[in-house]
Amino acid sequence: MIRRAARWFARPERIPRLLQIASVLTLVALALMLWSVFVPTPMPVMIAMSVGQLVGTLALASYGLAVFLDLFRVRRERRAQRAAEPPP
Amino acid sequence: MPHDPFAWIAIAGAAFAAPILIWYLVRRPTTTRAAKVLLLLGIGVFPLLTAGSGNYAGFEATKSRRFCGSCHVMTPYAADSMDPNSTSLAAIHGRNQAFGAESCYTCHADYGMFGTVVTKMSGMRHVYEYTFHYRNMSLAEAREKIRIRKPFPSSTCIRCHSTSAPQWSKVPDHAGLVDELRTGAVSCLGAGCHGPSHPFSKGAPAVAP
Repeated sequence: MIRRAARWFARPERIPRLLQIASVLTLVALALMLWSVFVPTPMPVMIAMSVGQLVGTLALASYGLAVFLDLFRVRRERRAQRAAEPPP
Repeated sequence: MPHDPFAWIAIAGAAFAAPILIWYLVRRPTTTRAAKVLLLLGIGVFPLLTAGSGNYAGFEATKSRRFCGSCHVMTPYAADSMDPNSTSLAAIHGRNQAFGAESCYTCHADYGMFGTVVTKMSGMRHVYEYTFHYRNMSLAEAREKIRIRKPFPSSTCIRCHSTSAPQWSKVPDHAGLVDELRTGAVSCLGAGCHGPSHPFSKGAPAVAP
């Protein structure tokens, strides 16, 4: 299952998708945080500090995963390129 | 509009982050190094600024009387402490320029090293009680039922009224009860002294022996 998940994420088209997900999640988190700033009553403040923080953390984690997968992809491509080069 | 500078820092962080994110979602550029750096600002740096300063502004907002009075069952208490004609102890303290806008928090917060944390935790209990017990209760019924959970400690009063000022000691009752007041054996808000602090205050529930 872990391998399947890793293979799913390793596809090159997943990286922009992950970044889009991270962008949308960040916009949601920012909206929740700003709601508590403009309406400082119990419910918005609690939602901003719990759901807002969680969504923001997920967004940052998605961005981190996208960066990690991109670095992994670049490394793999370089290795494949080196292997394809004829020996000196 | 918010008055707290931290709230404005939170707004500024969001104002810088949002255009970057919308640009990325609308234009969908290739993930070049520049795009990744921009996204780091839009997803990481600016939102972290918003989260940090927004949290701080949120914590500060929880101290305000407006925040405490935003639950309907607390409106009579908040209204009385804001009433310029009221002579209740809460209103007299609410008129203090130094902390009047935060008079609920100033008088009801626990003192000591972990006072803020303990107060925030008891605030969560207030939210729980409100959500599950008082949310749909009429104001008249809530006014009958709501009471302070435990006796108001004199240590809270002593934070400002130090019990050592000559003017304070001139009052015979103060001079006679100074040790009991300092140890908390006698409450400043006892009947015949300075209580009740709100016009409709009720004492803490009696503890079964």
